[in-house]
Amino acid sequence: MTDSYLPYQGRHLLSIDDLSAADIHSIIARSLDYWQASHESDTKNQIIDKYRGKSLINLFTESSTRTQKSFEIAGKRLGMDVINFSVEGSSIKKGETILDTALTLSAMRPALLVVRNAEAGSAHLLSLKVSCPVINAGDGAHEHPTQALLDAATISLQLGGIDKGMAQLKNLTIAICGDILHSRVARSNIILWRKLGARVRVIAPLTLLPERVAEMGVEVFTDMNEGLSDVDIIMMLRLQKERMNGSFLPSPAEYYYFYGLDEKKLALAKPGALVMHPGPMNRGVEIDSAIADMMDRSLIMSQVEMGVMVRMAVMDILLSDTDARAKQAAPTNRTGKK
Amino acid sequence: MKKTIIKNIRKLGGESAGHVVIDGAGFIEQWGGGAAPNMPDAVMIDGGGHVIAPSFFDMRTTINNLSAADSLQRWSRVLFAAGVTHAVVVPSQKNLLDDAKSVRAFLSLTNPKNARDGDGGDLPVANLHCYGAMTRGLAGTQLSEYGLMGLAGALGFCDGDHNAASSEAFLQILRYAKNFNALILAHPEDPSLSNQDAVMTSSLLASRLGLPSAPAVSEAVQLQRDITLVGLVGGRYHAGPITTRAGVDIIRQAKKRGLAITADTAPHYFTLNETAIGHYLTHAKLSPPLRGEDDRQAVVEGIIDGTIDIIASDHKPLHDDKKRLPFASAVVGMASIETMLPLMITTLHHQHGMALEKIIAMVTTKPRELFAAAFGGKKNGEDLLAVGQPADMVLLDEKTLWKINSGEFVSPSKNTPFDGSRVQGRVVKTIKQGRVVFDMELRKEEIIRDPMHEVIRDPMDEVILDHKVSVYHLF
Repeated sequence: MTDSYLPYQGRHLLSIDDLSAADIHSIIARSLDYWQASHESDTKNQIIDKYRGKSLINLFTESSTRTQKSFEIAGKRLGMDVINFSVEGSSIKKGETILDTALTLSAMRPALLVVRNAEAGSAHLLSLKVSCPVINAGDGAHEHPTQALLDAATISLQLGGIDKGMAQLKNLTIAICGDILHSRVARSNIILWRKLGARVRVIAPLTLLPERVAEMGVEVFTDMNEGLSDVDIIMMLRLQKERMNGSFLPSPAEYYYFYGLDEKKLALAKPGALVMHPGPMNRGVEIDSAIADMMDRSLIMSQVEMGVMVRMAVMDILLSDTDARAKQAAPTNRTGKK
Repeated sequence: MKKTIIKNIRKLGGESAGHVVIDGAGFIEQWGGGAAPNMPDAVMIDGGGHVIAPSFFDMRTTINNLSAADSLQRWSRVLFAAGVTHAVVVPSQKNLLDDAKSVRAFLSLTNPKNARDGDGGDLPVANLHCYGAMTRGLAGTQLSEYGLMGLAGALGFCDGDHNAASSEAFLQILRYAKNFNALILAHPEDPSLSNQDAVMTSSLLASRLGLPSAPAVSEAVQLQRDITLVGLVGGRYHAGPITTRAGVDIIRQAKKRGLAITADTAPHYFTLNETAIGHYLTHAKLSPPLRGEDDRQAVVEGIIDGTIDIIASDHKPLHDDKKRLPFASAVVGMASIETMLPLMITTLHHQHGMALEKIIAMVTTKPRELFAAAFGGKKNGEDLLAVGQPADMVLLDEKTLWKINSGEFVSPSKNTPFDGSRVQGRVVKTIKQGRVVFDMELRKEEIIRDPMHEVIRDPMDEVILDHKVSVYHLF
């Protein structure tokens, strides 16, 4: 394990905004250690046994496959008992608020609560009330911090590991394309890349861009041909099909023609530019199937794999000395950062 | 092909007689003063001392029944009779144009290369362009494919005489259009005020006639909303037809603020007021409806001071059956293209003293500027008639007093409230690619040739000032 970075001191992981560049660095470093370990069979058992006897509750009130399973696998690899809570058949279905549900679950003394909810700020709310650390697994259109961390870790690995990769990040231009307006992934990524010193562009039709997004420190493009010019990394976002007909977009055909990533548009980026996607993908809508499957350019499967490592790293950091953190945490500071 | 010389003509803004030589390919070869050169092989046309101007570009025409190449010939004859060689067709319920496929199909039918030799002979056809629908099915809610329709050739996007009722939808329309620098053309009537029940403008006359009406502020409400949103989003916005004083004022103020907006009106809105409805004359049922006299005058003022940029025919030909109905049931619209120039000259030039070249610019250079991107940059009037340009021009007579007879319209639709009206000024000849495609002399009209009234200055001043008699009743 790498010990050269100070561990993150926060009690919860709610937002990339709460992390310093050093915090991000330390989480990615630990993630890459786990990745390394997972590829070396002799260290695997050591990892799995680390938090045996502790429990992790996945409180997902919004449907999810990959994120929930990723947290579940991460928790299990750390030796925890994982309880998946879904809305179907739950007290929330009977009218209980998410806060009361979380308090009930908290009373059962889990070591960690992972929360996904359709409303922005819900993870923050729960973090103020429950007794255990909370990890935000996506709150509305606000943030999805572990996704941004896994994206950064994936790129770091691709660029040669933590030291070399992180150093190179500062020279990268990253384009985030698609439904920026509704994307928590985009928000977390914008904040993270900016903190690490990369240049960030967002590319989308104006109907899918948040108001004054340029003030978040990004360059704004409405034309893929202009926006993709000379970028190093293209991060495509999922386009919700429910937005295809209505006041956001006219049709899948038009969206794909102007904003879908195909070979012609990819050719505008730097030679060898990498392609990312947080999934699930709509092939033929936001990305051409051939590009999604490009072995040498697409990092999409690597992102999924790295997701488990990042979540293990985050859990490990939050659980490593919970009592000490609780004492350090200032009462008015949600994240416990000093 | 032989060369053509049009002799004995005056250029817009000039008085001296001259001539133009058109080469065999239909391009302007030379301009000259005085007597025309002696070229035995050339076709010689006598311009009769009339003014020669660039041919007209009509930015709002409704065509519902363009279904085959021969209808392109028929439509071309109607447009040429009005001096128009370029016209932009507006989507309608019968001609939705709300996806790229329908735009491509329309432009394929109107491609001159596809024009069939037939009863039109081998004469050139008019250039018909189109707008795409602003929303799917003209319903005002769902965005249509501005990007793909723009690539297919749509010059802008509008919903005909409808508008997006929802402000949220219109905001998204402006936002989405801005991605493609697309022009949004909005109809200036608030749909919730000017709903289907309203058939004329609210007034004492409406009360007397017992017709359901919408307040004239419907226009201001719509424009104010649209322009507020344009101020937020930016982008290219055009409103028309403008019909009220409040509407003119809003456009004027918005332009002062530097917003990239333009506006148009149609000849009936600066020539007629609501009293043209008379005893339930359905030919005067329009959308927007004819307004009060003060509004009509404000539209004239807006044209003269440049607030209103463009004049469009707003031609909406209808079968008689659509008009021979009780007023509330009749369909809105009129056959207005062939009366466009006579009304412009009569009202704006003769009554209000507006210079002819400024009036003609509103149907030539101004609309071309609006679509500059599609037509290779801006061109002023002089450029349009420069040596080397296509010889698309109009010979016009601004002096002769004559009486409109809808029976002599080239258009099969005769739905006009101007039947029998005396006007001064007309299209004498239309020339396309150097060929005469319309010749007034070949038609049978009753022209009032009265030497005492060759030039009439403000014949209606008296009554317009006291507002007691409608302009319509003067005709």
